[in-house]
Amino acid sequence: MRQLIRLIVNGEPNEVLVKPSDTLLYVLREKLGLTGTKHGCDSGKCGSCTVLLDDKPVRSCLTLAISVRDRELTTIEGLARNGDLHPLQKAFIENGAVQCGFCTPGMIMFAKAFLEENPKPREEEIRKALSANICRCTGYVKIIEAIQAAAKEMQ
Amino acid sequence: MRDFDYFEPRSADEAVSLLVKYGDAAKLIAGGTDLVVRMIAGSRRPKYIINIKAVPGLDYIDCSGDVIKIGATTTMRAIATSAELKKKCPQIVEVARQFASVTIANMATIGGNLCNASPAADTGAPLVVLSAKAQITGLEGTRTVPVEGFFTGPGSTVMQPYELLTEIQIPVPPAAFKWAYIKHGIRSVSDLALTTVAVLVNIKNGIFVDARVALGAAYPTPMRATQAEAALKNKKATEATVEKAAALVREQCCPISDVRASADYRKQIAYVLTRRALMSCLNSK
Repeated sequence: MRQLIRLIVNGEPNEVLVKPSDTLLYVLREKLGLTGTKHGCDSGKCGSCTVLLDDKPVRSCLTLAISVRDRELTTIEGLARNGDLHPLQKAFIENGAVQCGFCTPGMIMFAKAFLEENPKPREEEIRKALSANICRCTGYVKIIEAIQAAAKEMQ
Repeated sequence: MRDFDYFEPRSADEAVSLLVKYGDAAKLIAGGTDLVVRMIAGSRRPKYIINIKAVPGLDYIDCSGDVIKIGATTTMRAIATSAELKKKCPQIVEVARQFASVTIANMATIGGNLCNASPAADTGAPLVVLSAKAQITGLEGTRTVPVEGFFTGPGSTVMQPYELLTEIQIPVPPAAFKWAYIKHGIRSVSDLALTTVAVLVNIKNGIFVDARVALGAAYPTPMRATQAEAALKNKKATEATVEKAAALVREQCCPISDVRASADYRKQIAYVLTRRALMSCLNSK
């Protein structure tokens, strides 16, 4: 049976009618029109669907939307402030960290949570953490450089 | 994913009554990182989902006594980052830190990792070696079983259909005991382990006076390497003893062949990792 739930997405409360089997990824993309979050492997391996739940990164493809009712969610659409890109978004552009771009929203959401916990990461720490997210184009070098640049900018 | 009815019980007892009511058609969910994958793939099609992460008071780490108590719905990330736990039981913190990616560890729970009963479960072999116990809540209240006897085969445990795991209990390991844990996989953090090995040994005056060795993904359940333990106990703590014990692990284990690796490869890895883990105990000061 469908239920009306409240999801707080990027600071805005939303009332959505969901089936218990609707994943958070499905609700974000198909019911709220937030298609920045990508639908990749559907099995928690690739990281392209990463969003923040109470500021912690989770896989939205494996999260039942109904289980996160009334919780705070942040997606890639919620990072820019008044038209100004987040330092991570800027750094990804400036460092050429985007090729096809499919993994980028997941990478940036993960990196945001990562930098909050570890504001001055060493390169090997970034490399290890990023093994949570798969990129099939860039070879990761530019992504790592972008995260390093953003870390500096955010200090 | 097939449709289902969804429940958020407010207590372990309420979860038990839902399990009694819906029986085999119901499935408990906590982090969902195993179950939802299977539901999306269609290999699991429960009619009722009971979300025990919604039960208050099952998410805690209590380090106050000689036995550490961890609530079943505590996430692997909470275990990996607990400063208190790191002081009392750095072993389980190390296991949690190597468990999947941060993103998955934010969702996955220690109870779910055990109840899913994968032979390759990260926490299985380490908890066996640490002599941990599992507290199970059912109709008659709670009962406690050693983690070593918790698993009955791939995907199955001693739990009845109307029971749920509520707590993991780990006796604080003596500080003098040496420990090693090695997880071997293809993608370092995000894949299931090909083989894991955990060892806890007490070396006194150059003798292995106590030795516990267990492996994951080497047997239908996490495997306590009893033959290797016997080959270590009261023997000289030397490379030759270690070599003999590790070779026995190769004999005792019976891993599967699957898309990740062949059984022969896994046997060899089990031997190599056991030797390596025991040698690192031998060589640590």
